[in-house]
Amino acid sequence: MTDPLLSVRDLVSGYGSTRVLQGVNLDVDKGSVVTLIGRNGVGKTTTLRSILGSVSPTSGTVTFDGTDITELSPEKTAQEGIALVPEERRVFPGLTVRENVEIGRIGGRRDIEKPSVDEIIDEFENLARHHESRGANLSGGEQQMLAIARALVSAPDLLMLDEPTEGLAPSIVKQVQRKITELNDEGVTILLVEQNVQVALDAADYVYILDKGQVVHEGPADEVAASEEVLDRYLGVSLAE
Amino acid sequence: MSVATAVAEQVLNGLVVGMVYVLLAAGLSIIFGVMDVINFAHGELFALGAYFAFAIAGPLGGAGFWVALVVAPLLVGVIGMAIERLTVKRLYGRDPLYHILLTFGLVLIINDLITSVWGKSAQPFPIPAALDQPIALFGFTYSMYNYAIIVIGSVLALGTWLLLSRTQFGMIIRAGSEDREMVRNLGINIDRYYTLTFGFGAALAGVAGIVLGAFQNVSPTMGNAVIIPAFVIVVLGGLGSFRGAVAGGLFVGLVQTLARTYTPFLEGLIVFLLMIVVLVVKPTGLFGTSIGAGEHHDGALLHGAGGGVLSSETRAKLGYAAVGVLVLVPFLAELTGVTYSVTLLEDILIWALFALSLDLVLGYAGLVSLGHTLFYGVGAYASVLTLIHISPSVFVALVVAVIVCAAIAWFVGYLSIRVSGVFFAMITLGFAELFYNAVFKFDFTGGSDGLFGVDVFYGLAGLGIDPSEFEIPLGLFVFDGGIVQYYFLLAVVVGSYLLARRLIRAPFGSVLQAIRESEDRASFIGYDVTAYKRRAFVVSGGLAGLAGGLFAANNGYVAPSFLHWINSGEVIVMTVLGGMGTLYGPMIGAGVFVAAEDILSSYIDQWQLVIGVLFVLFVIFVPRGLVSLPQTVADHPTFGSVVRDQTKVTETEVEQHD
Amino acid sequence: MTEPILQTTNLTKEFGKLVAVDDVNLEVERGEFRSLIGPNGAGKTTTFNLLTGALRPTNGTVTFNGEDVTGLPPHERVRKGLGRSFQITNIFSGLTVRENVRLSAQAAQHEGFRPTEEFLKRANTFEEVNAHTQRVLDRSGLSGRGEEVADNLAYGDKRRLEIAIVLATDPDMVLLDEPTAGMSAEETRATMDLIDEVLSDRTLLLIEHDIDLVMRVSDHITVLHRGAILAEGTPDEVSEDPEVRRAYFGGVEA
Repeated sequence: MTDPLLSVRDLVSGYGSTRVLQGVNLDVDKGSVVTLIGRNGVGKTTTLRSILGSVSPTSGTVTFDGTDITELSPEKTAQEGIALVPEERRVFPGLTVRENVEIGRIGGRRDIEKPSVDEIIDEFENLARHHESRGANLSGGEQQMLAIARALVSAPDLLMLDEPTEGLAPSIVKQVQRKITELNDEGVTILLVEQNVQVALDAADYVYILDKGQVVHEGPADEVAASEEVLDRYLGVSLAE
Repeated sequence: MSVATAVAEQVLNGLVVGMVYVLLAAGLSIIFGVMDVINFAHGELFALGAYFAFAIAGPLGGAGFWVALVVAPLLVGVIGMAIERLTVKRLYGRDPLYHILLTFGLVLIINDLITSVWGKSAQPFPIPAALDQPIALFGFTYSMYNYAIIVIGSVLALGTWLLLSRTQFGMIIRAGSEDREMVRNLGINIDRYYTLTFGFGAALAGVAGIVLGAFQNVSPTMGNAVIIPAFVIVVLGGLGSFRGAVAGGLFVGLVQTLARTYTPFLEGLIVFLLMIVVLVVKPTGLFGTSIGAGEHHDGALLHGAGGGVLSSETRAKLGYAAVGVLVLVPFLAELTGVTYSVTLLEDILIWALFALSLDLVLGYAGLVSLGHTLFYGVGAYASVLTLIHISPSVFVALVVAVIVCAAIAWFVGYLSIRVSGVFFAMITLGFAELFYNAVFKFDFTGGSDGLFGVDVFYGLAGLGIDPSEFEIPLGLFVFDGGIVQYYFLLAVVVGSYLLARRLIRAPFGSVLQAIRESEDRASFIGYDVTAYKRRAFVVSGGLAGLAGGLFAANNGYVAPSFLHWINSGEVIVMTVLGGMGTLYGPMIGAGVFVAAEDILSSYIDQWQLVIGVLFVLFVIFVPRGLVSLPQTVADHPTFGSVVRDQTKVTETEVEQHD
Repeated sequence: MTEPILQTTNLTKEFGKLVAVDDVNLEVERGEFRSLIGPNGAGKTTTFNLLTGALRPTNGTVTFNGEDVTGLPPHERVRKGLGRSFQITNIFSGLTVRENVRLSAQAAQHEGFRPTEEFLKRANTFEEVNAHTQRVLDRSGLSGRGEEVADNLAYGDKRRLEIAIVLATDPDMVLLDEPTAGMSAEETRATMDLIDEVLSDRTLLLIEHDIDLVMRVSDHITVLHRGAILAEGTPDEVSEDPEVRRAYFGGVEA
């Protein structure tokens, strides 16, 4: 078996005196979709932020493609090939759609060929239509697509998505879901944080369930989906027909 | 000349000045928008541009101007980048106040460098001969150079707009001003862009300096003269907005020029009135959005840590000792013949009181008053006017000064305490400048000369001491009225300190401390935070007025310079230098500052430079001020152990004595 | 039935086009432990801010103790007995524990101070305030720590102080904003025990994500979804509600 692309070991992290992560372990294999599920406030976003380096871990290690990136700043981590689609999208409101994608293309790895801005925009039909609109004037779903496009244009080795379906209408959720599957089919490795259990299980190959800053359960997505006990115990939901 | 051509000429003149402002304000605004840095040194960079050009163009003659127009701004840009890298960069993440302080220190440094290289007097900087002639266009003649300024300004403004809107550099800058963390997350090193932006803004200021220098002349005060209007423009247009800087610059240029011609009385007042109105009605400015200007800051004001190494008993003893020395000084001065020391101490005491007053708002209520000299100056005017027109009694004059200043503080506070942070700072600056410009306009304030030759009387209703007739032989010494003046001042300052300490220890002050720790929390346990801040501002205004009144009464005069913004800057420097939020720290800061200024200036010409450098180092490395030095030293890995051991010994001794 | 202690009528808050809180009618009975839950973006925080006075509603009213408080700023609501705790510990960290509590106790009484007292009398010489401070310190188990600087307290004790500050305002009702966010399971239990121990005789409204916790401690639960009330009832009633399950976990077909 090959080494995982991303490997997080005993990660302890938090803000000020608040420890949010209390020793998180997880692996993401190349080409897979891994999701992190859990209720609000259990440390999902903090996990992503700690991987990226915008929160400095107190202890533990993050290894990416054989390199220890635990102490790297966010810009250095991004230059290693990790792109983040953050919570609440955070597209640049005053920049046009095209500029948002262009700026994404400046970031990321330096040593690789990146897709052109047009190629990426064309992949998202609702962005192509509005490419001169400002980020602030897009709908929630469009902003989400733009945030994904902005990350994709840097041709990342790992794409981290933080709650990409949050606050979106069901039809748009489906679109986002389709996009994630599509990207994975194209070979993009994905670490997805999701509160919507259905979306999380549908998209994933492997699932980690986080509670109170620790991984409380992990397993292949179909096993988790089939285990009523796990769902009920950790997530309080039932998928039974 | 017909009315139409006269108006047209005024409009053109306005545009010329406006273009200079545009170049100046654009840099200032971009730097604020991207980095949240309020750059007081921008005016000095402007002056530096003019002097560099002056130095380059002089020897080269004819084409020199054009060479200078390219080379000088580049030099200023490089200096700007160096400033960002070496100083400004270290303060990102701290409260914006520290950038104000830092750049104020840089003003002193750059200004002193300019005077030491090029001298204090203004020098003519000839415009190129090719432009030094009138030209007839649209039926009337007008200076070609003025047209050239308008063209150069327009081209640069357009170029800047293109740079911001059409280039990759501009795109990253804009994105960074909206969400810098996200830019970092994308893998872009935004720090590099900050440096470039600072350099670019500095270069624009440099160009503005050159064109204005050749329009008028070059002088060391030119930076000082434009920085405040530049702030007004940035505020009017909206902090961080390039469009706002352009519109605001042209607007202010036109308004100033037209006002000078058609309503001379309003010249100098109208822009500050506009600034205050805009800040009160729409703090984000005419073109500003909440984005950028509204970005929150994680950094907080850093207060002096008076505790730690020195116990409160030790500090109290030091306090008594200090007062004891101050009481004895006149005797020592008589004995040694160094009577000058008394004059110096009077200066120190007055600044100490002024700094104490600022500490109540800056250190306790967390309000950055950039125009605190308003109260100092108004207090001085109020007391001199009272002495002239109402009563020669110093007591009456000071009471009037305090009441007038407290009332003005109440009014200013009523209008401005709702708006927070930078906007509050700008409103106070606006009011101070309004009063500064106003005293020139009126006869009763003595215009630009001020008022002087006042006789004072220390008493009420004829009972008391007239210092001019006072003489008391005491053993070996003969004291004159000066002694009354000194002891009265000492008593008022010590009394004010005790009063301030009382206030801080009373429920009122305890709430101020709570607000300083956490404004939200104070509000959610039931305190009206705004009302408390306003009260602190009123008390502070009153005390600052007392300081101004004392100075005026002691020296028998008042002048517009009392209201100059440099005083506001200096008193902030003293407060932070000493350690804000401790009451005694700022007084120590005042003592050190005034004494250093006095001593240094008698030995070296570049004393401002030395003070500036010291201050910049303080802001960067000892932001908690002089009073925190014992603690800082104690925390130091190598020096620390020694001090700690000694302290331990002292503490044990104290315990044994108890 | 007695009059509810807190009542909102048609409470609505719009941010531009977004309706964050949509016509919410909430009634909290005196003495009960009520929880307000809902998925992210359901409008919990906005509702909370409307109740504390941090935000003004676009429409509707908030009535507390029979009095319309819709137009009152936060500090006046607190004085009327509507206290709140903070999600992230928000104490006066540079001051001592006693001073933290004393400030809060003083807030309840300082309206009655004469100006000379307010401005000139030493703050720690008001006997009633001191007595109240001591009572609160005793009750919250902090009496041994009074002279410590709050910032030096251990995390658990900071939470304790947070609750003590709320208690010292002597509230009839306390709004708790996710008091256990970012805590380990153990810390969560300790905090809820503390709330139970110290504030059990007050009306409580808890804003919370954690369903387990809410089920355990609440008398009644109100479920918000997309800014509106989706369901209301006892923990058992709410947990059986299929609508709630669907909304809370989104997209799951029952």
